Amino acid sequence: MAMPKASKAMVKTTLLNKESGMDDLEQQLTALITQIRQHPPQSLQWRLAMDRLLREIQQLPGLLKSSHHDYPAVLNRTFEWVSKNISKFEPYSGSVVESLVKWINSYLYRRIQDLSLPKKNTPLSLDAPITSDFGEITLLDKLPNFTLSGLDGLIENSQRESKQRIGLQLELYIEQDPEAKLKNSYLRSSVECNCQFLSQRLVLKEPPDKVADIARDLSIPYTTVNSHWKRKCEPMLQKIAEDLGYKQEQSL
Amino acid sequence: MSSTTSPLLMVPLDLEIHSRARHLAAQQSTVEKGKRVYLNALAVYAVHSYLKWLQIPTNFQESDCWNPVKAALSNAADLVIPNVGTLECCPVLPQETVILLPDNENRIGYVAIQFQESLDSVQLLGFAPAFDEVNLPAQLVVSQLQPIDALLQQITRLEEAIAFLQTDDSVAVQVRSVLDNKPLTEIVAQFELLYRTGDEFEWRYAGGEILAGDTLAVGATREITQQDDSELQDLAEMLLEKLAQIWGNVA
Repeated sequence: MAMPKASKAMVKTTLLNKESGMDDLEQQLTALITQIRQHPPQSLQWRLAMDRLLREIQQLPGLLKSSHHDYPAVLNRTFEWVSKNISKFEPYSGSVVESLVKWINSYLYRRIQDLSLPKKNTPLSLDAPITSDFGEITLLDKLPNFTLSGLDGLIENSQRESKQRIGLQLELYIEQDPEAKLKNSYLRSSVECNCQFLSQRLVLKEPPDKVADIARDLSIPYTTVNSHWKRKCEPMLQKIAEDLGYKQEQSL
Repeated sequence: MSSTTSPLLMVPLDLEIHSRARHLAAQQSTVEKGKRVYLNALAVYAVHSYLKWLQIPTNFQESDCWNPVKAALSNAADLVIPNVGTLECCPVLPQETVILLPDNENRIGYVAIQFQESLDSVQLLGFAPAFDEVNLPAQLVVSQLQPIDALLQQITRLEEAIAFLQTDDSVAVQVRSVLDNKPLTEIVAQFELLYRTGDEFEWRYAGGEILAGDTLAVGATREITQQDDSELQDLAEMLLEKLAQIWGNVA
């Protein structure tokens, strides 16, 4: 993995080529940091200044990068760290921009280094070899390339491999309604407005209908249809999902 | 410091969130639904991350988008900010110019998340504050979204109003007694919508309805339901005057 040693030199050259906007940026960053220090984190002033500061930081040249697959996690943590620690930041040279980049890079550098260490709480390291049908590979090889155009294929494969397809099971149940549970849960004012009918229009149909449109079709007030769906049908379907063997997993 | 000129804020998406999203998508009935669930999960995570950077905590883990059953039943991309309200996080794909709004209720606003071909990050595209539920538009036009600053303003406005309603101010005390145990967040969200979208001459009547409607909704006692409408309208009017002071300073 490319370790970001070379980037230090890059920071310097970028900063030496002071563009015309650099002085503006110096002033702007100083003003934002001052604003952050002067206000409590719950205030609008603090929030707007922090939002703006993070935008500016994301545009700064010379922030360390890594080609590691989990670099995004590091970057995400870094912005959180900046937010929590910016009040401790002291520019140590004439340039706020330069000092800020160095300050953030000192944190980023450590986090990027952590990436190459085996994780304590995960049994498998991404780089560790594992055996598969295709011989020895690493988890890293198995990682898909996350792109929008590749998403359909990724999901299709995951669905094929999935042992539990609760979404699919539920839809089959809605279609068949084997015990007529859904059909028999209707509004007092309208037999037609039952949970099977609503599920067909709100779950099976793609894209789903709007509750407001269904209400108009049935000439029933929106709130009546909506509360029947929310208070009767949805909990019933949730229960059906559990009966079908679906268990709410522990959140990861 | 106009925020419209500054670049959009980027939120990195890590392996763990992709793995969770994939797991959820795998359980759906079709690729199309799987994709929706997947992108919703990433959008919710992006807004959560951003709010975390701004030290605004969320009930991220409790979003319906993590529940494969709820995700199958509705287009769920909700994110709850405790003691403030629920945001809807809306994925926007490249070249999309409108956002189709899902049929969800009680949102304090909609955060648009811009996706690109590479899914290692997304951008915070913009914000639209809550609409009147009865007149909920079917879609949002991307070019008409407000900058993300407006999200921060909306959250702060709601927080400040809720904080006011918890004080010993006589108006706050009266409102609390009328509301019984109804969550202040819901009332504040409704008053904020009225304040923002209603004409001032509507305040008294519509505000009275909010207070009355909600007392009825919790199965109010006979005593309260018989309370004269004009009393609630007086109270609503006083509350809106107070809120106008608070929000006037914030905005």
